[in-house]
Amino acid sequence: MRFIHTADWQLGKPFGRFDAATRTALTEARFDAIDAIGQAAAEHDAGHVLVAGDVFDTEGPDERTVVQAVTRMERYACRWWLLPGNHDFARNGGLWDRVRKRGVANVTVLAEAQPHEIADGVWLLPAPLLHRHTRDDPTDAFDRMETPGSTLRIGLAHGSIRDFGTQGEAPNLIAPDRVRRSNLDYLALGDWHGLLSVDARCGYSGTPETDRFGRDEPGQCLLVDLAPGAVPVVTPLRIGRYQWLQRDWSVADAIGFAALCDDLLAACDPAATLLRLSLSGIVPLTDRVAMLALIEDDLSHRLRFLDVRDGDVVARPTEDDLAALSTEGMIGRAAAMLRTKIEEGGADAHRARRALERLFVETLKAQESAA
Amino acid sequence: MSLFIRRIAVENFRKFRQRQEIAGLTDGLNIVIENNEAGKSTLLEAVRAALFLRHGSKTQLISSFQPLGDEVAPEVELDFAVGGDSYTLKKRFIGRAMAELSGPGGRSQNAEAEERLQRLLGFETQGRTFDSELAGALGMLWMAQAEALSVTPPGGRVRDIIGATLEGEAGTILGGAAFQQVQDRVEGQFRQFFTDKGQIAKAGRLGAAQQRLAAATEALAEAQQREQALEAAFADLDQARRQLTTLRRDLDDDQHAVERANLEKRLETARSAAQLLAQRQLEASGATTRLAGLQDLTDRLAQTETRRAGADARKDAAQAERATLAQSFARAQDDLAAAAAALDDARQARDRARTALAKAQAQDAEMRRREGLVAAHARQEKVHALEAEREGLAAAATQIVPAQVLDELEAAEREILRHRILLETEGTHVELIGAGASLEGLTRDGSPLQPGAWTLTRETRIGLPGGGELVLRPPQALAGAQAALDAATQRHADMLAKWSLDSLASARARNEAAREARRQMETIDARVLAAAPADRDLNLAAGADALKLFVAAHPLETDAIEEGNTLSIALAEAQREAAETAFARAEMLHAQAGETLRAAEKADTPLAIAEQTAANDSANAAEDLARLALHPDFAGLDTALAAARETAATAAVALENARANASAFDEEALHRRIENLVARRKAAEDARSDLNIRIAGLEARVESEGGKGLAEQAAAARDEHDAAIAALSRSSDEAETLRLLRETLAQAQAETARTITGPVAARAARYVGRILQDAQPAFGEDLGLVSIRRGGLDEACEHLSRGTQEQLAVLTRLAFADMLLEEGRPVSLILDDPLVYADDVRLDAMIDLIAEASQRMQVILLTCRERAFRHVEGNRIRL
Repeated sequence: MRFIHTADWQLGKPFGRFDAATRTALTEARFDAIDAIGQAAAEHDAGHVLVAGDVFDTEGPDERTVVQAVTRMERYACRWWLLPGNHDFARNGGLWDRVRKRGVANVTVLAEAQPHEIADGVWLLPAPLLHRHTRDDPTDAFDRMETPGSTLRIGLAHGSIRDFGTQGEAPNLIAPDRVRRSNLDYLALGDWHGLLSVDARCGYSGTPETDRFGRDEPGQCLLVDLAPGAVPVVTPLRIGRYQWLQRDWSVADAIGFAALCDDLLAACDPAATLLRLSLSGIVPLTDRVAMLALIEDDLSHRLRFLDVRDGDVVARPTEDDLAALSTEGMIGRAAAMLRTKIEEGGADAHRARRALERLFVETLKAQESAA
Repeated sequence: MSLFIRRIAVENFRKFRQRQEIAGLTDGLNIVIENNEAGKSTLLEAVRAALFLRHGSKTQLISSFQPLGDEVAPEVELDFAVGGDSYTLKKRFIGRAMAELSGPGGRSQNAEAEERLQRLLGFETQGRTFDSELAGALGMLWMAQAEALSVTPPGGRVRDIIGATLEGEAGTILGGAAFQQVQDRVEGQFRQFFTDKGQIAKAGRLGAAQQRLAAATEALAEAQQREQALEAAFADLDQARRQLTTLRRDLDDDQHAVERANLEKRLETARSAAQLLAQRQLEASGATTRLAGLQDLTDRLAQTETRRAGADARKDAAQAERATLAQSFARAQDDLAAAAAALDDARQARDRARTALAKAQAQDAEMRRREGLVAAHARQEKVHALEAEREGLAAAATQIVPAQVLDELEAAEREILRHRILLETEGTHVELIGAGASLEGLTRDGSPLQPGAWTLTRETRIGLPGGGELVLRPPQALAGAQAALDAATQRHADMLAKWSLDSLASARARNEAAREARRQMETIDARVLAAAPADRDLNLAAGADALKLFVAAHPLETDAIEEGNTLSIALAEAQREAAETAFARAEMLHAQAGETLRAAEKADTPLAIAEQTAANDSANAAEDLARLALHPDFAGLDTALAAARETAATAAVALENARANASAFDEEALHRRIENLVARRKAAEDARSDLNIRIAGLEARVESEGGKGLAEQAAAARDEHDAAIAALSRSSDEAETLRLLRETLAQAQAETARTITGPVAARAARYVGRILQDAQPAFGEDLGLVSIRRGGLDEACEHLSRGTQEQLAVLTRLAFADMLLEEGRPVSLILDDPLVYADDVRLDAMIDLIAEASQRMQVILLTCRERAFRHVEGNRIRL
């Protein structure tokens, strides 16, 4: 039995904090992931795609989102098993009724905790979420499911494994020994957006298209080979288009910064990369200006998206800097006043630093235009 | 270096039509004290004109130099020294205008002279009016009247001169190009966020960010509201479905039917129990009724018997009492009969006594009548005698002459007398004397005339013997009197004749006799009346006539009166009295006996009634008893009663049981419960129908709204909201950074300006401190005095007093003059009527300062205040 285990598509996620172009690209990429999975299934001859919840980002997605989703799935020969997760929980008259109404033959909504025999002797035991938050273990239902003549029992659920990666009383907790308890051959889980193997028969596929910083790896799905009595063979397949990188760089000067940038750009596909860059360190004021120029004039344009957090970069003017500023008595005086504010610290220090940088930049520009 | 003016000569200049020359001006302090209108200000004007105004200029100002009404050419000559070199300047305006400057560089004329002068003293060409700013340092230092009253910054050229010096001193520049560029760029960027006044520009980036946030907030609220509404619809739907499920379960449950059937069954049982109860009630009621009937019969029997016994007893008692009473009655009747007999006797006795008395009284009355009759006859005799006597008197009594006749007689006599006397006295007395034959033939009124004398009272015809007649006619009056006398005499005689009288006296006598007769008649009448009194016994009224009639009717009786057997009245009276008393007593006794008898009769009546009543009662009771005896149960009454009692008790027990059975099945309650069941089911069915409708509505809503992607929109709105907040934060940050930078730049500029103006302030402070203790002047970038700092407080110049402002205006000029002097610029000080607002202390201080300044530069002081400047040492000059 070969199938694809995927989850957390989060279709219709708005990405409102991004600019419009990025937003559109990210939204579209999520739909494209369906195609990628469909192609992977075809490529690897997997007849079923099990989606372990959070197919949609909300329970009330836009109609376009629904239509895009089902029409894309419809294109492929494989059978799609969609499990309602906490984001797209199942309820009467809700999202899944809309999906069903689309009447796509190869898409099955698992909105009820009823086992399905998806192939001879292969039973799929779904644990759909009927509410956004459930105190009970949704997989408890597995114990009550009868799978006559089963050779393989595959669980499909959405939630956190209890005592794993969560603290305290999180909702939708799944018993860690569910596989053993419910005599499952494999438990396909969703909710955790990264790829995570709980044990040989249980794991999270992660999202096929990364949707937040903090995970450098691009999205994947799992190709699972199951055979009765055998340990499952699980193979990750890259699906995701965009890479979401987060970097914390400590910089000392503009040259070092440029080198880091070069390294980064060399290691990634910049056009498909979103970068959150946190900078820290003490740099000369001229270097700081150079860094800003590099960021604003080059790096931000190369990458799909760049979010620079440079609040911790301290631009310290060198003697040369000061000399450059002192060409004009009054500019020098203004710079000195701002430096005093920076040194005094307090609430205004940060602003004063920004102001000083700005002054420096403007002075340089003035000098350039004079030259 | 100072500029020294040595000599001033003017001609045709305003009030100076004639040439006026002021020479002998010295290096130090020159004081011109003159009264008003002496031409002090004109002098300053002439010096200014010579130095700063072009000779060829034809402005109105130039024209105003001409003395009033003259078309002459104003001329000014000036000897002065600059930097040790002496110059002579001659300038003429209007007409043959010319300028000529002689000095170390030789002589130059007109335009050249003007150029040279301009270079030498550092001023610019004037326009149509005099502008002290264009006149350079001297324009500032030569203070015309009322020109230096307020603190003004020095003109641009002077500022440049001073500024250059100061910037060098401060080692920095003001208003550098680079700074200006940076400031402009920052300002430009600042303006992307804020307005001129530092407000957030609506169209600016910050405003846009704010608007974006506002819009996002609004959109989010709307999206959330819509999402929540949808969620609420879902919740409602869920709840409705659950309700429906419960309802369906309830409706499908056959518990209801079972319960209902059970209730129906119980209702049936209840109904039969109720029927049984009704029957038992009927039975019990019958038994009770029979028992009551028998009991009643028994009771009535007993009561009737008692009643009869009572009646009999009452009848016997009444009879006994009546018997007793009958005896009393008989006795009373006897008594009454006896009393009646006694009364009868008494009555007869009384009647007899009465008759005897009457008889006695009648006899007595007859005797008295007869006596009276005799007496009456006797009185009749007497009356007859009296009446005869009276008859005699009556004739005399009627002869009376009436009083009126007497009066008339008397009057006639008096009249006769009066007329007679009148005739005798008034009449003609005629007397015939002679004797017989002589008197023959003489007649009077036919009658012979007899001698004698008479009184002639009427025509008298005397027949004379020859046949003639002598007619004597007395006067007419006498004739009347005679007639009256005759008439009266006739009347008198007639009356006497009528009354058969002789004279008046006889009349009076007759009247007297008549009155006497009348008195006697009256006496007789009284005697008659007394002789005929009334006699009651005889039924005779008083009066003679009654007596006469009585006597006529009752002749004297001669028959004898019956005598004997007649009791005396007194005895008869006594007997009658006794008989009356006896009768009264007998009557009383009789009445008493009657009363007793009636009382006996009265006492018997109630007894008789009671007896009769009792007899009736008894009879009734007997009848009742007879009737009761006819009752079918009468024969075995006791047995029947006992049986009835038993039956009633049994029925009561049965009834109680039936009642208990019936109450166990409250039919009403069962009905109610069944109705409730039906109603509940109906309500459930209605609710199901409502719920179905509601669910359909909610489903429709959920379907239609759900398809709109509200949750996704809400998520997007949330993201947009967060992004807008972040953007606003970034914008604010940037804006505030720019604001800080802009302020810092402005501050740096201000501080730099302060650095540069520091030396000016330091110099001015020396002077300012002389008049304002511990005051620090602060200068602006334009080198204008901005404020005075005193006691830690800044006071803006325009808020200082006018006097202080004027003094500061002079002092700052002094400070600038010093600086220019240090620069080697040609300076001098001319003050036209300065310090008009200064008090004495300040004025002295200012004069001291000016005097000190005159050590360094030439000072020309023009004033009209002789007293104020009297003590000041200096070169005194008069015009």
